[in-house]
Amino acid sequence: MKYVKIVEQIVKGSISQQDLFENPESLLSQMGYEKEEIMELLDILNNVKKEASKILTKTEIFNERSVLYCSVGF
Amino acid sequence: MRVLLIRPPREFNSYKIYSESLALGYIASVLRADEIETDILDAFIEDLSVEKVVEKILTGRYSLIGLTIPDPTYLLPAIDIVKKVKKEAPNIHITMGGYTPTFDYKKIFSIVPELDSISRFEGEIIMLNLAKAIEKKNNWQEINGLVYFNGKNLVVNPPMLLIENLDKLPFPSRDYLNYLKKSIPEKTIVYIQRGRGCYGKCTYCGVPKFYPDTKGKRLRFRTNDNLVSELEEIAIKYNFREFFFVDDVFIGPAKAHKKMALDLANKISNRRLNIIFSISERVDNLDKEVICRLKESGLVQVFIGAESASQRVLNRIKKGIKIKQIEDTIVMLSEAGLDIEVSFINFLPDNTLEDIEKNVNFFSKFGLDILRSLINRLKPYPGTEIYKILKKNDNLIDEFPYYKYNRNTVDERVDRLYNIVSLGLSTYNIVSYKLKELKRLLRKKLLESKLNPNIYRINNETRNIIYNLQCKITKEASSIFREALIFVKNHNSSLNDVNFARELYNFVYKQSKVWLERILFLLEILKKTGIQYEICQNC
Repeated sequence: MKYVKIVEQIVKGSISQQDLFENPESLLSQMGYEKEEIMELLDILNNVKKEASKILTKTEIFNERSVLYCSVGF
Repeated sequence: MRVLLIRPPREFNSYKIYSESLALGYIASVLRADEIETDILDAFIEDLSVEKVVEKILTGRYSLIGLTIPDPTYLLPAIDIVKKVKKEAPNIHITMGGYTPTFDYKKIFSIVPELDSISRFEGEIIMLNLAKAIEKKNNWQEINGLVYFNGKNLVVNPPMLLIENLDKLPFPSRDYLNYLKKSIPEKTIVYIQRGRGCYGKCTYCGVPKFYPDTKGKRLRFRTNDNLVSELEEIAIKYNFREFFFVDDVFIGPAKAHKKMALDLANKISNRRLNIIFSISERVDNLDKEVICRLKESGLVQVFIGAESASQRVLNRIKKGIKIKQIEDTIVMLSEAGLDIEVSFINFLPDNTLEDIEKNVNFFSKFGLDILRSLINRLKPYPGTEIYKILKKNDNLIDEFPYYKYNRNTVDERVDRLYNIVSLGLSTYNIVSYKLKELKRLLRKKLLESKLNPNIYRINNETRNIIYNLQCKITKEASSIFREALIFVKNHNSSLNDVNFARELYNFVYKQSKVWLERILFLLEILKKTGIQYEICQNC
């Protein structure tokens, strides 16, 4: 349930994205997380930040109406 | 005599979800049923280069090569393959098939006259006849459905009759399912087909034209027993339980179709297959009773092509539906607790700013994931009515194998708006892909929780949390789009458009990063936790 609690709070706005990403340690501690849990969540947060930047720079931007895709024909 | 069926590499990929090519699977199973040795090479799945594909063709084992081109992104690599193979082994017969070659065959032959033939429309019987003719060294030039270059002219044979009874086809070969299961099970969806064809008349769509008026019926369905047997075989043999029905019309318009769909839902439930599946359907065929029964049997997502929230536009593109039907369907599907994928073509050649404004108001109202639709501009495909009209009016730009229309015909401000938002809002595309991935993971978790009720922990808020997030992103994107719309309305000159687009881009880039972090975080957390699906109260 430790993961669920934090997700709910982020999306419902009880904690802000900015707070979580900028000052996560004290925030998580205030939320009652144990030290080990905090370390685990910090790890996830750091990876996510790196991954988001990587995706934004690398992903090819491609926009196409796909209704004409036809897998039936040869 | 051995046949090699190939899905070429793609020129570029956007959001890579892995699924086998049903087209190749069906052809392979038909050939194999006639004891013709057949291999499948899926360069898309295996991430193979053109050179690797050529190497495989040139092993000396193959007399007939079939290249499937489901959309134009596969065409240039396929042409490259043909040219390279023909230089080394001119006697291997190479044919192409699929939507793009079916309608753009003249252009393809003008670029690659070395190609032996193109197989138009449904390919199974054509390929069977072609393989037999090559094996027996008979004349293949008479085979219906083929187009070829005879050295002077293009010869277009009459189309092959459609296969009336789809139950007569063997189940498609699934050569790559074990490979996918081993290498990337989390990114695999099993494509499956309930029927073929569409009776619609939408001017932008080529699907109805793919099933020409020969003697066969345009809209055909397999029997439910036949279909459920295939679902069961895949679920048991390969342990894949997530399916995507590729049909453009899954249920159908008539009362008899509805009855058949209800029977299908019962049959899936009765066999206790524990599967989940997604379908596409016109809004006027979606009925609450059928949807609720299908949901009980595993339906989790419905794709609807709404295309516009302006009745004037819907009439013009011959969509054959009313705005009210779209709205009622979205409400009905939401109440049923189903994921909704909706598509709009926000930029059509004669859309006005008012039409576009109606679309954006619609997006905000329902909070759907429309990030890609916001900057969706019609790509006219050969074979469609709209392509012919644009060509006739000299409003078509040919960048083979891609085509686009040149200008908006009623208001140049719409083109300015497109130029601004296609740059300014482009990073929302990436957010949309990741949001789709998140929703897909949620669906998988639902299935896991169904299969292992004792293992997965309860969190019936999860689905709502993700949908609240989607709603927030949609509202933000719609509001930024509206700013661009107002900018274009208030500025008669395009002088400042580029600067404004850059400003938007910078802002949206930052926002996209924020949303992406949030989505990726949810993805990671969801991977580690379990959920319980909220049972639909209305069903």
